[in-house]
Amino acid sequence: MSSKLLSLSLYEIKRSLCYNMNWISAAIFLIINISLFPFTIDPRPELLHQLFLSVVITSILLGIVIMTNHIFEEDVSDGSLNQYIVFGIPMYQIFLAKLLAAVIEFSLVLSMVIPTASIFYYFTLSKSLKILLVIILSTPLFASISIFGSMIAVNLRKNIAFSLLLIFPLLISSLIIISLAAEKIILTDNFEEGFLYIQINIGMSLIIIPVICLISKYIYK
Amino acid sequence: MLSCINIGLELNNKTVLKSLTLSLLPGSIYVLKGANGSGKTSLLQILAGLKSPTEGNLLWNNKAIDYELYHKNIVSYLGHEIAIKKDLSVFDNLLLWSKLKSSELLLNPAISHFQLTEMEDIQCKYLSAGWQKRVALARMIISNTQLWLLDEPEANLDEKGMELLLQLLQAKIASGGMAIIASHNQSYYNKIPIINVEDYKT
Repeated sequence: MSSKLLSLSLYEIKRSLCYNMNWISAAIFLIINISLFPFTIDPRPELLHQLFLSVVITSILLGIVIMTNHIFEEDVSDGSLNQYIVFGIPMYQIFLAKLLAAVIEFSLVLSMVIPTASIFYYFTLSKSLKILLVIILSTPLFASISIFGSMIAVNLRKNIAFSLLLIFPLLISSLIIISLAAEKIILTDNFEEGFLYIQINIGMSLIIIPVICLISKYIYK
Repeated sequence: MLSCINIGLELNNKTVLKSLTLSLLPGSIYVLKGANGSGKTSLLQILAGLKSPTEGNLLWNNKAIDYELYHKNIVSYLGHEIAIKKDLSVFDNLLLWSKLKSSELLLNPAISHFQLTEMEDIQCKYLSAGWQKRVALARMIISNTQLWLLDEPEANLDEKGMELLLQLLQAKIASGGMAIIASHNQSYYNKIPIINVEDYKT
């Protein structure tokens, strides 16, 4: 069972990193977008830090949602999802493989975007690394909610907008927690307190991911 | 033996299949015939466990099907959508499925049966539809199961591809396997029992 999950995960990672290249487009888009903000407003560090908190982190996380929200569509349209089922691969393994690939993909995007952004927003290297760590640790929760939305959309044969509405409350609550953590690090430089919020986030991931695995048993039947 | 007992299917308040009762024996090939929309694909998907019938039961060797085991060891399916990742090479496409079935030893025989050896490093997007179909059919060998469900497998295949498919089907039934094929072109499948799906609509 675990060898199948490993094979599937490696396959998904290889596809997303080497072939799809969505992550490079996402990284370039975010870098351009985020780097342009400081030029359009008064570039005082305090203002930029608040802007980073409100606009930049939200853009990055919503970017993750957009990247993951279509994650099951291709497998449905080319018949791969049916093949997985006929090959006896449980839905939860497909979900976990896609989640792992997505988290690695986002971590790569974030590793390119956050250090670049920190130059334009006057963050020190250590602060930018802390922000990077906070957001990377938040991606499993965010990505799992988003991939779950994609699974639901596929199951109900509804479009992505429907699934976004469905997962919106979960996304908002995790976004608030991530923003609180980032606020503590960026504005008060209190990493320990910020990390407390990330622990809540990781705790939520540890509850939500197994719940999605359980629910996925009844999806796409 | 695969048995369908009073299988019925309704989709969008329309009867697609009604009271379909069949027994399909090992070592045989069956061809499903019927007009477009007559329910051939739906029946294959029910037999593959991808769709639930609205009534009736499916039995494997006279026992209710345990779908976990059925999918793991018994059934393979090739639908209209052939589940080929076009950005991956022929080899990488088949490698994944062989790993998922722990049947890596069948990978090279499958590639060579469909004469894919010379193009195993080529990305599938550069192959014609017929060659992509050969890759999908090679996956049936890798699946290493008793029952094959094929939805219009002859589509896009050239004469050579068709010859290789028929050889494979002969070998399959000779080894006690079973194949059920939905097709509009029964002339390919001589002396094979034909099931007219349209007989099970009313």
